Amino acid sequence: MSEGFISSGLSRRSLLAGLASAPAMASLLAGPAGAQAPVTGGAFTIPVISNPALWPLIGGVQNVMVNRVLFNSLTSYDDPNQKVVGDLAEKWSVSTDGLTWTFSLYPNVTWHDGKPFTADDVVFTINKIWLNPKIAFPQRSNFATLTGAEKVDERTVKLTTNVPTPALPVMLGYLAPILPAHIFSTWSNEDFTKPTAFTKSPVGTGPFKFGEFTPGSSVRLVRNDAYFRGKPLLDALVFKVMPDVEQQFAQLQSGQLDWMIIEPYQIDALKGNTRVKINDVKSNMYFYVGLNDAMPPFDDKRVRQAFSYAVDRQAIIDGALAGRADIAASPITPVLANFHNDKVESYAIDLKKAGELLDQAGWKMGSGGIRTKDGKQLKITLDVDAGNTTREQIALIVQDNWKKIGVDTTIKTGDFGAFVQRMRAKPSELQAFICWWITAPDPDIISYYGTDKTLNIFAYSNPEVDKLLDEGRKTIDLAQRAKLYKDAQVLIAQDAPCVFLYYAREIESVSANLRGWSPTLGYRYALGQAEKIWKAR
Amino acid sequence: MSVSTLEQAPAPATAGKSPGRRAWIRFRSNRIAMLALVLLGAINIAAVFAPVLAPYPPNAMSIRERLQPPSIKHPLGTDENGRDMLSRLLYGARISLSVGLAAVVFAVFLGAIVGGAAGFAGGITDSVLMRVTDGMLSVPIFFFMITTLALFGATLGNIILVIGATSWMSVARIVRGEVLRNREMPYVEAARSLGAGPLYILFRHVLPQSWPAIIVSATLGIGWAILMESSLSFLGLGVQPPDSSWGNMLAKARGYMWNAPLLAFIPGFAIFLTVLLYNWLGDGLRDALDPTST
Amino acid sequence: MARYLIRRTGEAAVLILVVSFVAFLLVYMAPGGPAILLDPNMTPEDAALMKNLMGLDEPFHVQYWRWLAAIAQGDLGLSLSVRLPVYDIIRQQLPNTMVLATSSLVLAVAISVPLGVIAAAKRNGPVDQAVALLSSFGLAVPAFWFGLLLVIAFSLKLEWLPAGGMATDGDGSFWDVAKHLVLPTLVLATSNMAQLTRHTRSAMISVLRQDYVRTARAKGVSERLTIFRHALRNALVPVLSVIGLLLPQLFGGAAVTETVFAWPGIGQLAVRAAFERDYPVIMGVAMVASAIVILASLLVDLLYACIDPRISVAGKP
Repeated sequence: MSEGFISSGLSRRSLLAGLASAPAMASLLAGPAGAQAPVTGGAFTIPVISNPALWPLIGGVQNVMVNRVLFNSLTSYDDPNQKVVGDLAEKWSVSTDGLTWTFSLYPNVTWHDGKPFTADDVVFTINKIWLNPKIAFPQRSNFATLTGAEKVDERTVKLTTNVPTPALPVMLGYLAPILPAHIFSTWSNEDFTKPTAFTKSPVGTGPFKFGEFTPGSSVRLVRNDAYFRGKPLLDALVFKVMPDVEQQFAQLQSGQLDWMIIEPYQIDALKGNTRVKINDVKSNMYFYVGLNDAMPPFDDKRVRQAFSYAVDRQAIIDGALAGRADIAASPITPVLANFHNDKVESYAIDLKKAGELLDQAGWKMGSGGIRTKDGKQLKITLDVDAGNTTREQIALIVQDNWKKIGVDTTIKTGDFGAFVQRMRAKPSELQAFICWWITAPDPDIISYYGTDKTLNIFAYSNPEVDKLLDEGRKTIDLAQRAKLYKDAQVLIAQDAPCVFLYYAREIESVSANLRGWSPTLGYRYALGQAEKIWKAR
Repeated sequence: MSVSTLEQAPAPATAGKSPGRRAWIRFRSNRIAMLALVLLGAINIAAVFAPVLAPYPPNAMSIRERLQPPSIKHPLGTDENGRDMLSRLLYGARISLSVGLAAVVFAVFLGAIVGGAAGFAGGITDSVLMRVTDGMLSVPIFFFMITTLALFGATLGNIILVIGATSWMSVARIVRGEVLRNREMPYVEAARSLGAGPLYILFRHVLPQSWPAIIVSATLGIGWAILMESSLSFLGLGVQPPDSSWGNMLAKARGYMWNAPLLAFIPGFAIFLTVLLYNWLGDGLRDALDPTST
Repeated sequence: MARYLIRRTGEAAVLILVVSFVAFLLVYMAPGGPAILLDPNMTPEDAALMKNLMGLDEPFHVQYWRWLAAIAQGDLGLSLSVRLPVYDIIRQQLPNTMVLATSSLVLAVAISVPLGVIAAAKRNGPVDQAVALLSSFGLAVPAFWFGLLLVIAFSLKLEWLPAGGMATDGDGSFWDVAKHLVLPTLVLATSNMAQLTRHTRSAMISVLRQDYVRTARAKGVSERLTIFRHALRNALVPVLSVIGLLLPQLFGGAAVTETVFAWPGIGQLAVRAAFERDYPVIMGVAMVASAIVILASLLVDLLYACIDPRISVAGKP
């Protein structure tokens, strides 16, 4: 369900977000330039951390960014709050039993090679690729309930599921591009492992088509004049390959780059630079201190609650995130306005209560300010991936916070890949760790909080929550569904499976003369509307 | 240390004195080398006594005091987490200097084994080992270092192993040369007839003979290793936080170059200065111990 | 001479084979597997499927042999992260590294040889000492740190030179590339310059001590003529072999320099591939870079043998 850490490269160093309320938000769309007529021509240049793959069937932030422009999905997301809108699909409806979805497709859509896009492409992509276990497709688990697609006519497709799946339209917009049947229909399963013929000159339906790929240097996408939403304003979109974030930052400052995700600490360096503006983008992402609920001492709910009460989230937000984040209390972010519950136990810092809870759990204050129980000291190993200043700062603050309630915390840093592997291992030997989830804009969190589910890395289990979450993912009615998730959040917050830290924002720095780029949508989805972008002179 | 001759005519001015004494006299007259020795002594002592000298614990942070300029409270200012730079620099010296020293010790050990084996065994073993030694010098070894650390994890131990494993070649050559020169010497023959194994002879007789050249090579090697660690740190493959080496302090500080340039300047300068001093010391030692070279 | 040539070539071939084995072994033994298998979204079944499709679940000798056989046909495999042939990627990025390495080497030689000669000629004089000081600075400065200082000074403050990349978007003319080349060349050349200066100096000094130079001097040949006509030519022979030894460092140093300046060469490629655990790229770059350096050293050695006839008898000094 999640994008997880698709961005193992970029995210480690620079993807991490966090921003405060942005006064500069007045919008790049309106503003003083609002009256200006769009200027055509020019290029929009953005950095990627390594060579992108022009192959839509793998994750990785650099790939997702480029492929979002080259390809379209059935649905997409738009302001406000990442709401689901049609992309290739003009509209859709669901049958009363909630099992059959009918999508009407936009007319006049063509592939970059000139062939028309039809229902056949959708049917092929779903039946022959997504649902084909012989072809690797990272988002397959998002479509676990999907049983198949069927062509009704050239402009209409019918998707069937085995249980009602209200999240389907959301998932169809999430890293699930529609691919050209006329190219792939002759491919064998084996060919999909060696897709060189396609990656050398990919064919999509997006606003920009493949221009040139210079490995190590850049990928250049050029205007698709036949784009069905209208001719794009820019001539080109250039993704520059730049592995070093400081080099990216230097080029951003000197105006060679038009956009970049920056770290909170870099904001100061941009003060007074008139070439750039800073956007605060609320994202469907939250950070937490993961606790291993299956392992002592965190198998005791009171201990988890105590650890939650001890963490000074405001200090983290102020100290490590330049104030650009919001305190988190539940796993469904405020971006999902219909589903987020802000009336849950928020564990506002309360050292006294934390101490009492630990006392109740049998952890008594011992010598040297460390609590002990049955002769064992309260020692915790806190894992964090090495190299990201912000997360390291968080680890240090948490260590310091926990010390105040008599916990001796050792911070262990290590390689991100190895860290993810250890996190996914079952049973996990991690005790506590700092990590984050970013998910599609749908509240279904059963994979993360359902007993024994794949991404339940906290080993959290509450049968009542299981029931609510299971119900929620099958309930089509919006109000009913929202109620289920709001109830689930109350229970989860009470159980404190992890220490919720903050709802993150992505801080993006964009050229001051950039127009048509939503300052609130986030680059992942704003890139899907690349035809609207233009640069003022 | 060694009684046997260094096989060189003693310079007239120092005639009658032991080789070590003569070398010291020569070394002492080299002002740059003496300066390097004194400063390095100070730096190393400061590193050893970091817990005493450092005004704060190296990881004590205070978010409110982040990125402060130098003051009486913090003579070198504070870093992005409000940690005292002077304290971190002192503790960083421990890690950086230890990494340099440990890597070099490992390299000398490896070099002694390879060079000794090549010299004693001779024949095909010798020529294979020497081809390996040449081979190590003729491939872009840094690529392999990066790969190894990225794939196997950049732990302190791995970093030392990787740097050591790629810098033993000059020691191997020195030791091999010394073995070849000594192999036929009467005392080696005698030791052998008494049943001494090659390892014993290597460590008891040959290495003491080659110590001047090894010390020069090792001294230069420490500087090299510190520089390597900083390069690896820059790529994110050096010593990992919360341990602070000068290399990772510098790599981290790069992000603050724009608004707190001093943060990057301090560890960068520490690396530069220390490497420079080790190189000067090495050059001075070479001139003192082996006046025929250069 | 012919025997030497055959032996050196044979050695180079064996070395390349050994390198291939080491590169493969490193990757084979690495824990974890490619980064794309670490995507937590992927079901374990999908991960296993991908591993199987990539042939990563076969025994060592099968994988190694298949890889080697493919290389023999010029096929370096498919990048796991970009899904393009490794050969194509390297072919496009290698020339950039060659441009950078060559310009650095040229700069190093152009500056170091004259400096070394002058230092040797004025041995122990103030010029010699200044050169010694400069070269010891060059050996001690962390390259990426130096690079960053240059970027701040020349790109951000003075705005004379671009901060990085190889060409301005939409330009790419000779002068444009040349401007982008200045700073990385300087950074990559720094340490080599220092080493080369020292070697030139000591080679010159030992040549100047030799009889024929003394004779020339005694005969009243002018000092300048002695140095440049007689001594330098002989001193260049050992300098040449030092250049051979600098080549591996030039390629290794490219990994850092290219990363600092976003120079699209294979050094930067190697670093990213290592982080992404893109096995075919890691092995491909290691192979190609090693092969180039080994062959270049071979060439230098052969050249050396041609210039200095003693080699053919004595073997490598």
